Amino acid sequence: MKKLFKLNPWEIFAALIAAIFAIPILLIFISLLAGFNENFIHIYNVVLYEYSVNSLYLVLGVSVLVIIIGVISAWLVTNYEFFGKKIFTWALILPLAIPPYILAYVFTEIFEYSGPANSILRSLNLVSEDYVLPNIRSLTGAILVFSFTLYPYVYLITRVALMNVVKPMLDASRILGLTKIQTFIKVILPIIRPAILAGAALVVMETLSDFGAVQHFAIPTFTTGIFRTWLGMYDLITAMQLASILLIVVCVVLYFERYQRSKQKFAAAGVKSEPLSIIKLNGWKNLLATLFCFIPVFIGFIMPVIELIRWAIAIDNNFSNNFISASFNTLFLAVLAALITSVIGLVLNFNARIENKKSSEEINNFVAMGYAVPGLILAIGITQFLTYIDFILFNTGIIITGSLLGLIFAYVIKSYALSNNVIQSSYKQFSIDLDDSAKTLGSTKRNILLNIHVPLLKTGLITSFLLVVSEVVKELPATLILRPFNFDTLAVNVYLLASEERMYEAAFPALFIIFIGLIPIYFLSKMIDHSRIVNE
Amino acid sequence: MNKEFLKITRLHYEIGNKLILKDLNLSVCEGEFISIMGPSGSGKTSLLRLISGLSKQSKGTIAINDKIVSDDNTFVEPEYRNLGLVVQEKVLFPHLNVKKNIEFGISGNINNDDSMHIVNKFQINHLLENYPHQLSGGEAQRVALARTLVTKPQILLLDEPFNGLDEELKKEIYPDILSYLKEFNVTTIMVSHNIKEVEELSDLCYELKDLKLRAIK
Repeated sequence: MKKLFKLNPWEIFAALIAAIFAIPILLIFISLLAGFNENFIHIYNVVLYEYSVNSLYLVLGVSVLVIIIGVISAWLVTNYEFFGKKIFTWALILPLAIPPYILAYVFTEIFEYSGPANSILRSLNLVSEDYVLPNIRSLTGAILVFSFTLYPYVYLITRVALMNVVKPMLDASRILGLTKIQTFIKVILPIIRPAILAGAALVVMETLSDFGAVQHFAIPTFTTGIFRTWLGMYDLITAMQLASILLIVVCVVLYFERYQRSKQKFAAAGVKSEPLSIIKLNGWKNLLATLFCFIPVFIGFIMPVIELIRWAIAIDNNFSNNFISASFNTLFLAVLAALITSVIGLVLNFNARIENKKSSEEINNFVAMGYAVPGLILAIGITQFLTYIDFILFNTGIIITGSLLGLIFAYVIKSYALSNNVIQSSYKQFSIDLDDSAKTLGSTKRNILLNIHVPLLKTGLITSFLLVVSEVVKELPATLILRPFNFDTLAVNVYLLASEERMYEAAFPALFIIFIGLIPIYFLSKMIDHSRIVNE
Repeated sequence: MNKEFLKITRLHYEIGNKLILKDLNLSVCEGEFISIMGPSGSGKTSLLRLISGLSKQSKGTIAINDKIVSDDNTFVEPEYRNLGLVVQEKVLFPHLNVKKNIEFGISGNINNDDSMHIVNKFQINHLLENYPHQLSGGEAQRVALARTLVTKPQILLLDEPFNGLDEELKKEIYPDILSYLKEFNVTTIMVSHNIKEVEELSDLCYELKDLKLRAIK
């Protein structure tokens, strides 16, 4: 007991946050103890294999494609000078602004029988009237959609790792008798491999979490299966049990990602930063490099944006009441969630810094793991959690469960990692000696936080706020489930319109989501510029 | 008198518009140990990079053992020059342990007598399973030296190689290095700021200053 009283309020707050964040996830796992009913046995016998195989193919296909696109483009822009290289350095991140479900809607329209792709091929007499491009609403189509929206994860992390491959190291390899190709295989590839795998693991988690794109393409995967079991068969327990299986897979991928990241830190340790020499490409090599970088930007960003603008222009009244109220709802939720997330991020990081204890740091890392939990699973766990609270407090199941609280809760858990990363790196910008000086001058912890840290972290806090806003605006599955009755956000609006095949009407809110999604791109490109300047 | 092993004629090198080396001539005999001193930015490291083939001169000729390795028409890539280069930065491969780092430039493993002899000489046998991030500065530098020497280079280029080592260890390994170099008749060019080190190790010393290379010992 004595030890408990030694805890200070900051530590209690951090532990409380960790506990609250953990409860929905624990409830999901506890469902496994409830025993398997006939619905689960039916799913197990009939569709579970299909869910698993489709999810596996999807993950494998996407992983291979994102590694090819991400690694080669990162290699090109880091080591070579070619036409448009400066633009591609940041433009290659642009597809991150497009949620996979929006690209799925655009792909469906572009590649259908009377869509622009088939029409252009026919008008150029390249194909006969009967010819139709392969159906995009397929597993291959989904692999393409995820790959062209998610490859920036691999691109970004690989690019940072390539900046750690320093010139003297490569010189040493050449002097020791290895050719350029051997040096690439034996030195560069092993050094950047943890980064590539960590990036691919993030992509796998995003792919497994997705609901909108696979639902639109009618591909039975774990997420669509969970959704159908809950809202089609009205069997929450079985849905939670399915979610547990998916969550175990996500945990394995998460562990793998963290492990690879720790190896990445190893690889960069103790090496003096001296960037590689940039090689100028001429002739066909120049053209090839430009084309290779242009294609993913075109498919993942330019093409969908142009198409959405074209659709939006065709609609007379884009500023409908629906759009205005959905925009207001979205921004209200996003701002509220961003404020709460950033405050929690600030307090937990402050606690970890000021206490300088392993446990405080571990609590922070644990809370940041929420990003890996698929939105749909989070929504199920939160619903269950809030229902319990409702029953305890009001003896009914809808007061808190039917409010905005669950939605905000889901957003905060999902986007905490973003806020944490920014605040953590902002904290590293100033020395801990400042805190010690303040303490010796008689400042309380509260004073240090409000009068020293907050002013110094101003830029980091604003960045954290904006990043969370852009994440919340894009979020679909949790919003779809946890929103109060008759409460639409832009993402839900786009989803509902697209599911009714009213693509043109969905275009304007989709463009708005993309516009907000460009915010983190701006910061990411600034970060890349910064690391380039530091390296040079 | 040993035969001339490295011959540099009218070497000219510039980076951008900045002239680094101008009309530099240098001749080093087989098995000779020469040192080059000079202020920072005088072009000492650039000269080593040109000899090793990691950079290419604007004009002039570099010949090793009577064979031109770099001139207007010829350029032999660094991996085919059979040179060793040890620099002051930590350039051990971070993903390989010490043993694998040392084996990197040789075919096979380090269990042969010559390699183990070097490993023992540099007192790194207890570090073979460690990774570079687990080494101190001095240990890393000893591993880098060993990694280069096991390849039995015909010319050894040293760029401030003993910076990370403490004085005691330097005293211990200087005689070993010298005896090794003499035993295998390795031609050595060292860049250093440390006059004591230069005096102890080299047969001849040059100063590179204001684009001029002149013998000072």
